Amino acid sequence: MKQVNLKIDGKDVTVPADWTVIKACHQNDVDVPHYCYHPDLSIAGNCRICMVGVKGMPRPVVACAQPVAEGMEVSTTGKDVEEARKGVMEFLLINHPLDCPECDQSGECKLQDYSYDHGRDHGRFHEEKVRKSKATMGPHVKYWGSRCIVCTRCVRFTEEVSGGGELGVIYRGDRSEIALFPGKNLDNPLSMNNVDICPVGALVSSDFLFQSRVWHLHSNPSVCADCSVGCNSRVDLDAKNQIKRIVPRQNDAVNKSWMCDHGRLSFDYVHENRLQKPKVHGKDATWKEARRAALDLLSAPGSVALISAWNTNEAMQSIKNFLSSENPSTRIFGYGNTVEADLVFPGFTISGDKNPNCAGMKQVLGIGDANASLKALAAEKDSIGCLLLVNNIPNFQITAELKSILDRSQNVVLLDFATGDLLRYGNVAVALPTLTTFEKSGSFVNRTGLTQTFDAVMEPVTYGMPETEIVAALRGDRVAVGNQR
Amino acid sequence: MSVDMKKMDVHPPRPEMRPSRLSWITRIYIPMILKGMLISLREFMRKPVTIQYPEQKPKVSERFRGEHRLTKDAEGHMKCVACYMCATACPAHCINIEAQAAPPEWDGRDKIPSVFEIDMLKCIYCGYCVEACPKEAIEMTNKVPKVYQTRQEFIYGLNKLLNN
Amino acid sequence: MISMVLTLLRNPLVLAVIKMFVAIGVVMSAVPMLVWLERKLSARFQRRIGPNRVGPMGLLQSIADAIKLMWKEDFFPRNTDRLIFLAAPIMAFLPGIISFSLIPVGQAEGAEWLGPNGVMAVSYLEMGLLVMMAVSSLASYGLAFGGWASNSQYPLLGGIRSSAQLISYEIVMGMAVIALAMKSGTLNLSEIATQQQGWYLPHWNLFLQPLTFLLFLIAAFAETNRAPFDLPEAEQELVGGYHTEYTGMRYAWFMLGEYAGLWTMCSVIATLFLGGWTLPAAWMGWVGHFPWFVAALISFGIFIAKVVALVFFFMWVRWTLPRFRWDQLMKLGWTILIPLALANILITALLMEYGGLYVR
Repeated sequence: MKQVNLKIDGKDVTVPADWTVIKACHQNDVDVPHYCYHPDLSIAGNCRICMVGVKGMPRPVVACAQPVAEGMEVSTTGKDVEEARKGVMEFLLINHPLDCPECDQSGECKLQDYSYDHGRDHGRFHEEKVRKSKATMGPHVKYWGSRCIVCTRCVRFTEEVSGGGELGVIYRGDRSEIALFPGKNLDNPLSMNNVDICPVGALVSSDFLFQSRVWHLHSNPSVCADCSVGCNSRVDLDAKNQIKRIVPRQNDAVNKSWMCDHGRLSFDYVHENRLQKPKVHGKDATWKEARRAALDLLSAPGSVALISAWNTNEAMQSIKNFLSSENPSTRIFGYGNTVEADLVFPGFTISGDKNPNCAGMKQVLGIGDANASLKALAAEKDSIGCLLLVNNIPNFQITAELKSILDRSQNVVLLDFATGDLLRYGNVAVALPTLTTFEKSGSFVNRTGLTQTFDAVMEPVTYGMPETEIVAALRGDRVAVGNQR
Repeated sequence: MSVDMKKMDVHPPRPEMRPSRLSWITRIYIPMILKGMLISLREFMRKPVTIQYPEQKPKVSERFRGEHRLTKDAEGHMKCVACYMCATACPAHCINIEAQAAPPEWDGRDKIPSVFEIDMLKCIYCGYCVEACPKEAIEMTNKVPKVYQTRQEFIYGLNKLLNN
Repeated sequence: MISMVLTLLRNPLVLAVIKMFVAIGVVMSAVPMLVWLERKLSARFQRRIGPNRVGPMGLLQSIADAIKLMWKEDFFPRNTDRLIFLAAPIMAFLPGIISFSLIPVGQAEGAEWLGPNGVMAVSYLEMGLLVMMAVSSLASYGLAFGGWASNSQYPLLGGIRSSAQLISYEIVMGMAVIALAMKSGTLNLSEIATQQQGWYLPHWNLFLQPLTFLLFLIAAFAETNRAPFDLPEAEQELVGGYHTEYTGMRYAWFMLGEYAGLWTMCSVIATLFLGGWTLPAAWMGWVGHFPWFVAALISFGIFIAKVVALVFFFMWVRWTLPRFRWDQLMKLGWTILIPLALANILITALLMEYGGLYVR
């Protein structure tokens, strides 16, 4: 791509020729206010807040719709620009209800930020404000019409990314508002992205509604584990170490600015039905007792390790290393959630492979197809000495194949974070609590082969430990009790 | 540069080690002790200022910052919209709010608190919550904070604050 | 019937037992009243009211406190020296009672069987002053033992302070008493008291020997561990000093000891410097018209009034003056009071030899 040189606030920059001025500014750490502009959506140019001055132009231009040109001199400050922004802010707030105390967006609202930066300190509008409708757009999205500034980000999103085209603008002038097309419902699996991209509090999440004020949350970066896309996410927690919401983090190489509703909403398993303490034959035990019991069982001949594709590369590698020294005859198999067809949208694809780390499993354990590996094990008829089952799949349901494998195992050592089906199934001799992906660090390889690391975003809610630490402790116990082989 | 160790050891005398500049009449103590005892005797003669608290209540200023109250609007609904501004401003973190959707018949209201608790043991009665409130929904009465037997009783809930 | 009782009373053994009980009763009933008085007075000096909930004017507060202390957990800190730990509070308390038994508290003229000249004292000793000095300084053992046996740093410091303070100020007190004994020519406490009776004006040693009185008073403050010399139990520095590790009734014994010491010390000062139970003879002629037991009660009342006035003074001082620093205390004792006490002996001797002031 051809590069052009231009000046932004007196600073020389070089950017590709097909960029707009606002993109050039943002990429060079110059802030230009914007509502309707979104880096991953088409240009609308209807909010008019992104006014910048360009030398040679008679009046400020909108930066989002202005392509860069060679020798252009852009100024993002100055009297003209400030006046223009101030005027735009005043118009945008004319019919705004100013219900910030009740609005979920306040604290991360662009209207608040820009009003503070560029707006007037008082309103001059004394007439009655237009009151618009409130509506439920879909299962996860609610609409407050009065707060809307009709930037049409959501309309463009449904057309360009999710592709359903459910939303449109009705009425005209100061009465215009967003509405569903007749017979349609905003129920596609990407609907909650509309909440994120809404710069004001018009579209809000009904799942997060009135849950917390955003300034009481603290955010940590993470990677979504719910499918093999590996969306970059931001986890927001409250002061009580509870996950309140998950929103996407922009990463153009993986998920752009989007994330599916399923990934955003599946965090209940972190706080529910957790395996709090180690168990030996169904009874609570100390970590030491449980580890010694596990060590005794794992050295049985004819043992098998069954590792799910929800485990991190580090967990797989450390278990593999441990088994090769502890009981080299142990064979390692993999399994995972069933793989369905991908859900493809015009601007986003949700993977049908509902495991985060199938590619990592192939790299670390050499198991190309997790479920084929499970089928191969299920086809065998020999008795299994000890089955080391490393699950970590949330809300896991036992399949018929796994059932047959469990039935012919003399003992099962389970590593899992939940008290789910597997623990209830019966013959679990030792259960060691692990942690969810939110509580431990590690790395996943997504389906494009990109290895993404993540850190713990929260304090562990149980006495569980990451698999790597469990393995390290087991090694320590082996040294302590002596080599019995 | 050579350092003269002898000189280094010489410090100016610390203030309290300097010879006293008190007059001799002060330094023999006795007159000063008598003076002090006369002062305490004078206080002894005066009336005590103690208030017998539970029976007698102190007279407080109009602007005294006592227990909180949640106010109501003309229709008798609480004015609070659970915006958490008071909880955010509170330096003692004594306010605990949980929000819920307002009943649909309350016109123009989206959100009300389902839980509004002030821990009177933690509260320092600074009045920041009142200043922070955008709806004038919380104010401080001039009721002197009460005393209870259990910690739980010090946590004032929504009903108690609305009727305080 | 009455004559039978009087005959019985003339039996020295019975009399001694009765006297003992009376002396212990006086001290033991005085102590709770002193605690109450201290709390009331301190409150008034600070413009408070003080205890007023238990009983009329809070009079039963001390009883309530005692009941509370009795019900407290009986607690031994780890690694204590049990025997000494148990003995210390009693050792702190006993000297107060013993020295009080030496002090003549009144006179019943005509009742020779009560004592020589009807003087009311548990033990009428010719060298009472000396014995009193010897016994009263034993109180410091209780404090030192308590500090040592607690096996803890603050009590130990308190105990050490108590010993050092006692040693320093015992010298001052002894020297002051030497001057007084020189002037009086006797060690008999009742004689010292009657000498001060006077005719129209009281011949109190307070006026005749002001320097001795001052030295004795300052030493008395130090002996009783009261402010401004309450260093052994300095709450701010030593968390209570020697009784930090004590709880319940054992702690109460220390408190009782402190107030018993105060009561006894005030009695001693009243006897030595304020004329004991006497008032000038010209004022008291009418007393002779009453039977002996009424006269005895009146003289006892006079004695108690003087002691209570002194107690008030002690408390007044406590709630006025701040505590001395440790080095100031030692400096005051050794570099000022002891030379002053020596000078006092010299002045008294010179006055006796040349001044003709103290004519016996």
